[in-house]
Amino acid sequence: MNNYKINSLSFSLIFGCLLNSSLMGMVFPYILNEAKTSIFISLGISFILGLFLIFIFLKILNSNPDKNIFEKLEHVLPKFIYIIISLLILLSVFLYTLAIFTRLTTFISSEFLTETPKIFIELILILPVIYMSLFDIDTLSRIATLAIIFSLSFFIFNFTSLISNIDLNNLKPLLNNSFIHLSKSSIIYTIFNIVPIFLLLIIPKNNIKDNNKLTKNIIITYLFSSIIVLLIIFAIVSVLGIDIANLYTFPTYVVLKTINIFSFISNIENLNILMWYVIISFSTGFAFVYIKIGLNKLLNINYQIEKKKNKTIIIIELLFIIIVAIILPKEIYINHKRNIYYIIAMYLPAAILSTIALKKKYK
Amino acid sequence: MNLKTSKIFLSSSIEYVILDKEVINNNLKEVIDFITRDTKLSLEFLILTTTDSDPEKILSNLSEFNANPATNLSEIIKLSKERYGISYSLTSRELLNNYLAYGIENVFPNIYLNEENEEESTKLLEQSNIKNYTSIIDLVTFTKDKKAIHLNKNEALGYNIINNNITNATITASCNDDYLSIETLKSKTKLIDNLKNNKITIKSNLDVEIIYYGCKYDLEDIKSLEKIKTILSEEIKKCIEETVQTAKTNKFDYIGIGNYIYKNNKKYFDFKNKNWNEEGLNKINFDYDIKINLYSQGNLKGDIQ
Repeated sequence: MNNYKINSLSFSLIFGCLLNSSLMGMVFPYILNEAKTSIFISLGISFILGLFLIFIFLKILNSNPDKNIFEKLEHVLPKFIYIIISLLILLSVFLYTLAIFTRLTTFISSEFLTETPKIFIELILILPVIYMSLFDIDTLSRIATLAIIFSLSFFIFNFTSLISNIDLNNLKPLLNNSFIHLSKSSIIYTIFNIVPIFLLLIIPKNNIKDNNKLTKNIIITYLFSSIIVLLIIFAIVSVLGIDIANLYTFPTYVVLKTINIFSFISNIENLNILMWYVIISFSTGFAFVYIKIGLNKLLNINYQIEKKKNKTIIIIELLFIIIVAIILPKEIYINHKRNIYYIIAMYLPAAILSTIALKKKYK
Repeated sequence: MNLKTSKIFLSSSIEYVILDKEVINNNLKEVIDFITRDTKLSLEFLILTTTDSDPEKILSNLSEFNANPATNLSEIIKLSKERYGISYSLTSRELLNNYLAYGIENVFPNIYLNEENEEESTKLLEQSNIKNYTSIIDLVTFTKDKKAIHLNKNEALGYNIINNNITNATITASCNDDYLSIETLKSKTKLIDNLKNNKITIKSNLDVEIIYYGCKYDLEDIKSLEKIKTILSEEIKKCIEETVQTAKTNKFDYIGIGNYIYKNNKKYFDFKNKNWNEEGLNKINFDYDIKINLYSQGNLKGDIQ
C-alpha cells in the first residue's frame, strides 16, 4: 500500500515545515500577548515540553514500523473504536488545516488585498494546495526541501537586515508577567508548534530509507527550528518593542516593515513574507494528503488505483472550500485570543495517540 | 476623489507627516489608531509638528522639490540629529512605542516655514521661483494639560546625549574669550540607578576630536588638555542638567527616566496605577558623570595624551 521511499533528511524537512506552520498569525500574537517580555522564559519551558511530545511521537513512529498511523490503530484497537478514533483524528486534522489556511487568507486579505472579496483570495490560494494534495508523500518531501531552502534564505536575509534596528532595551523587563500567563503561553506554544508533527505518522517508518538516523535528524531539526523561532521573537520584541508587537495580529510581518537597507531598499516586506506563504501552503497540502490516505484506508479504497485514490480528497477539498468561503467569510479579523479554541481540536489526536502509545498492549 | 492629478497616493512611500499641535493635544489617539490600522503605512516615516506655522502651507511649499537637497525636510531633521544633536527624528514606530510605554513621552521636531515677502511663482514646477523654505527651530513636547514645552539647543543636545541619539555631533564650548568646537566620534550614555536612595546617575562617555580651536591653552601641555576636558564635560553636564531640570519643573518625563526604571527596576514604582509624571519623577535625584576622551584628528591609535 505504501510503496514510496523517502530519506530521513526529507522526513526531517517535512517535520521542520509542520513545526512552523501555525506560528504566524496564531501562535506568535497569542504568546506575545500572554508572556510579554517574559516570552524567552516561556520559549525555554516550551522547548522542554516539546521534547516530551517528540519522545511520544518517536515512540509511536517506532512501533509497527511497516504501518502508518491508521494501520497501527486498526492493528491495536477494536474495529468500532478504531473507526471512531480515526474519524476524530481526521476531523482534527481538517480543523487544523482550516485554521492555518484561514490565517493565511486573512493575512493576505487584511494586508494586501483589502478590497478584494476574500473568496477570490481563497480560491487562488487553494489551487496550488489542491494540486499538491494529488501527489504522494515522496513528491511532497521534495516540495518540503524547496520550501525549507526558500524560507531559510528569506529568514537569513530578513534577520540580518533587522540587526541594525535591534534595541536590547526593548527586551526588558525580563519578568513582567505572572507564572499563570507564562504557563499558558508555554503550553499553547508547545501544542500549536509540536502537535502538527503528529501528521508525520502517516509515513511508516520502513518507508524512510535511512531510518537509523531519524531520531538524530529530528532532534537537530527541532533544535534548529527552536533557535529560528527564538531569533524571530527576539527580532520582533527588540525591534518593535512588546507594546507595538501586541497591537498587531501579524507582528512577524510588521517587523519586516522596518527593514531599510542603505536607505534605498525598503518596503520589501511583501516579498519577504513569502516564506510564511510557502510553509503554510505546504503544511495545508500535507494535511490534505494525510486526510486522503486516512479516508482511503477507512473506506477501503485501493490506494494503488490512481483514478480512485484522489476522489475522496477532492470531495474533502470541496467541503473545505465551502466551509472557508461560506461558513467562515467574516472571520477576517480574528481576535488572536480566540485561537485558543482550536487547541481542543489540536490536542485531541495527540492525547489519544499518546495514550495509545503508552499502552502496554501497543508495545 | 482626486480630480486634479492622475497620480495615486501611495501611503507606503510617506516620508513624513506633520501633525498640528491641535491634533497632538486633542486627537493623537486617533492618529495612532490610524497608523496602526492602515496596513500600507510604513513604520519608519517621520512625525513632525509645527507650533508657529500652518502645516498646510508647509506642505504646499515647493522647497522640497528644489534641486538643493538641503531643503529636503526629512534630510534636514536626520542630519540635525546626527550631526548637531539639536533635533530628533521621531519615527512613527517611536511615536507608537513612546505612546504605549510607561514613563516616556513623545518629543517632536518643531518646524517653521520661513516666508519671504515676495510672492512665489508655483504654477509650473519647472518655472517655479522658490523663495520660502522650511527650517527646524527646536524640539517640542506637549503636556497632558496641552502646554507646549520647547527645548532650547542645550536641552535638545542633553536629550539626545541621554538617549544615545548622537553619532557625529558638533558641540561648541567657550573658553575664556574664545571658543572651541568638537565633533563626537562616539557617545554612550548609561543610567545607573541607586533607587534605594532615589538616585540615578547619568554616566556619559564621549570620544571627541577638536575641529576648531580658538582657546589660548597650549594643546601640547597635558594640564591644558585636562582643562579642555573639564570645560567640555562641564558644558555637556550643563546641557544634561538643563534637560533634566526642565522635565522636573514641568513634571513631564520626556527623557524616559520612568521608562528606564520600569524596564530595570519595575517594583520601584506602580506605573499601572500611579502617575509617574506627578508622583515619581520629582523624587529622583540625579548625579552626572561625564567623561571626555580627546582624540587628535586622523589618529587611529587613540587619545592625544
